[in-house]
Amino acid sequence: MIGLQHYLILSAVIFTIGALGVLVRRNAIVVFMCIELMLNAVNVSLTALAYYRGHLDGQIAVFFVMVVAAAEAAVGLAIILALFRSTESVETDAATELRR
Amino acid sequence: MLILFYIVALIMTLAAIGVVLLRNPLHSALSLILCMIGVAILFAMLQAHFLAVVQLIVYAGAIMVLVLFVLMLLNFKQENLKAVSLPVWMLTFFSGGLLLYFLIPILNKSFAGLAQKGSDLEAAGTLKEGTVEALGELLFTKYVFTFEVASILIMAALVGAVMVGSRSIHRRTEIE
Repeated sequence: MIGLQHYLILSAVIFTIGALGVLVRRNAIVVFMCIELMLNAVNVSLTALAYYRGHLDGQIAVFFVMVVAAAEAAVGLAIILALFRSTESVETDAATELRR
Repeated sequence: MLILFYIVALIMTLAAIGVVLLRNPLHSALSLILCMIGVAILFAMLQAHFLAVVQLIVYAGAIMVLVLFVLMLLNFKQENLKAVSLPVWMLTFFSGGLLLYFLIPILNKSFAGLAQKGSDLEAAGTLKEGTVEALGELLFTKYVFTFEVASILIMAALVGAVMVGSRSIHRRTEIE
């Protein structure tokens, strides 16, 4: 019988892996993908709690998290593209100057 | 069902580790798509049918395709993972282990009264299924203000993405 703790522990493990990925990787797009991994882990946790609580408010929260993630994807990738145009690199170490 | 959960959990964990440890960012993106498909399977197991489909369409189908577009536009060399020094890797694994060491017992014991409730509700027939009608009714009555604010957020993101990514502004500052 799957309990709530199974989903919560899985969500914690995926969240930790994503958090460590943000800290270790230096490619800006891979850092962005690790942030998406963290958001997905939180979505699993919210949906599991909605199921085990018996009402749907957790799923509404997941819906809005997905909306925010989509908006963040658009703006974040535009920033990465603009950064690439000015420094010719997507390493996070390359963005060292505030103005050209 | 428990076996299915463990298989999906194992695949998701391996895919998440793959996102962090694979050198080629394209491989990382494909690994993340695999993880998102696993999340959609979990949503379906939790009777969140609308969210499972939206996860596949929006997350795996739109956001990751956008990431793949950007990755293809900027073709660069593979990242040198060995450039991250060994003490940093050791510190990373240690801090991850420490975090999980504290989180897992807390999550195991928390919400102790709820652990059985889902299947009880299902057996009693009063489980709220995450269908489109049920979610829509909740979204447009109780959360209608949040819904409107989310639409303003999307519009702001759209304007922001166009302004940041547009080339003509870049050229204007170059002339100055």
